[in-house]
Amino acid sequence: MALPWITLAFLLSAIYSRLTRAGMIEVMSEDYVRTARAKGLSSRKVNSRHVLRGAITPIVTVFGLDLGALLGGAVITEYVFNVPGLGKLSTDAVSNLDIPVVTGTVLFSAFFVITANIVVDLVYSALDPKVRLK
Amino acid sequence: MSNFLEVKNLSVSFPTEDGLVKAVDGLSFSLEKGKTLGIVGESGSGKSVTSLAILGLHKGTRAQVSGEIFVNGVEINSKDESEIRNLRGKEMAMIFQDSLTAMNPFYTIGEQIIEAYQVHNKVSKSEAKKHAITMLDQVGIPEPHKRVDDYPHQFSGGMRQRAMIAMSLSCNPSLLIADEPTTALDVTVQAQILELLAGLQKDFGTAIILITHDLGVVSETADDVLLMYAGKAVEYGTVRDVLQQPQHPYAWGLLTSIPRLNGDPNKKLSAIAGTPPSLIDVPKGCAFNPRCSYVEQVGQACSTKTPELMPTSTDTHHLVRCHLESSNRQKIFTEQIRPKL
Repeated sequence: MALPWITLAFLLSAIYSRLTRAGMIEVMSEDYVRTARAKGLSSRKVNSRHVLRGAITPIVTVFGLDLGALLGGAVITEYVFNVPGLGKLSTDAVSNLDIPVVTGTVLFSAFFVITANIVVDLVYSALDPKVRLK
Repeated sequence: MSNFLEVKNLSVSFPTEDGLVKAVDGLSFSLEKGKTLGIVGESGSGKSVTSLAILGLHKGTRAQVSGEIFVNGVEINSKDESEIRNLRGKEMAMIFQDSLTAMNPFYTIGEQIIEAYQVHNKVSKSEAKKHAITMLDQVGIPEPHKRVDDYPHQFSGGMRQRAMIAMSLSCNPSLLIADEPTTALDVTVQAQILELLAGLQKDFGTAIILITHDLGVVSETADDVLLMYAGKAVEYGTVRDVLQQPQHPYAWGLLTSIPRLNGDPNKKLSAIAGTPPSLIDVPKGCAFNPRCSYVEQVGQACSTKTPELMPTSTDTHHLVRCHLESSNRQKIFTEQIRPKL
């Protein structure tokens, strides 16, 4: 059971570490990071409280999309490792030309993607004080 | 009284693909407690770079810093980041220019002041918050107990600048560097903020470095003035000397270009011809020579030999970097410049 998890985690962790790195480098040149250093904060605190905080928004966006995709079935991974899941179900249905099941799985995946996006939008309002729900 | 801040032969340069940018070149000055030094110069003359060097904020960047900076007897430039960190905020603090970008948009004003206070004071969060409210009250923010939980974008420009000042002052620093604290503000708010700084200086004996473009602000608040051009000090002295008896052609240019309310409204505004030099390719000799109107009175030396920062003949504390003969300079000043001021 561990192997399909590792496969998925490995793939996504690469994307997230690159994304975090790029985001943090960009935020490091922000004026407010300089202010934080000028206050006398340790570099660990500057990075965790100020730099990471500023870089997290695009990561949440991508995470929302990935979350929808994962819940909707990691098609290839499930197929390769023969895990009974939504992805496996849909590939089987496609090869058997089982139209009602294909329709069902697609609809179900779409539901997850949309739900994940709504969750991300709600998380935005918690992350960015300028985005507040009325 | 000994000098609280002593900068000796400070140079800061940035390596770039086009060459070495000499942002600050051989700058020396000093400041006593309770006094204000005004640093004046055009954009790109090295004012902000100097102040960042004093806080040691060039460390970890590609900037090359040489020279010595003593803050309360401690040399900054040779210390590493962790040692300077203990001085930042407590011994020396900075008010940054643009308070919208200099404050973190993700945290409330209160959280940011609390953070600054807790770096140097072991107090509980609620105590720190009380202190933050007191600080906001001190800088004249109405209803500080409510505004403390607001985010920077909910403040107006002037209020944010005050909050920034409250944050910088939260650990009661002995040296405060104000980098154009009033540039983006209207004159009324500007006057309030300058008054605030002067009041705090009186109460706590803070040494202040005021970086500004505005000679009016300098004449009101500063004790000493350092005039910078292309990374070098061109004139340095008391505010009286530099603004009323200016000796450098650049200072003359700046002072005569101030429009007068009682002057002829149809008269064309006088300006210094040309533009500030590129810091990669600073003109040989005196950096001001391509824009100076008195070059022919000196001749070759202006474009071949860099003038030294020398005392003017009358006063040893008034320094000027110019090849003009001091008697000639005095003559030009009394005959041509003074009538225009």
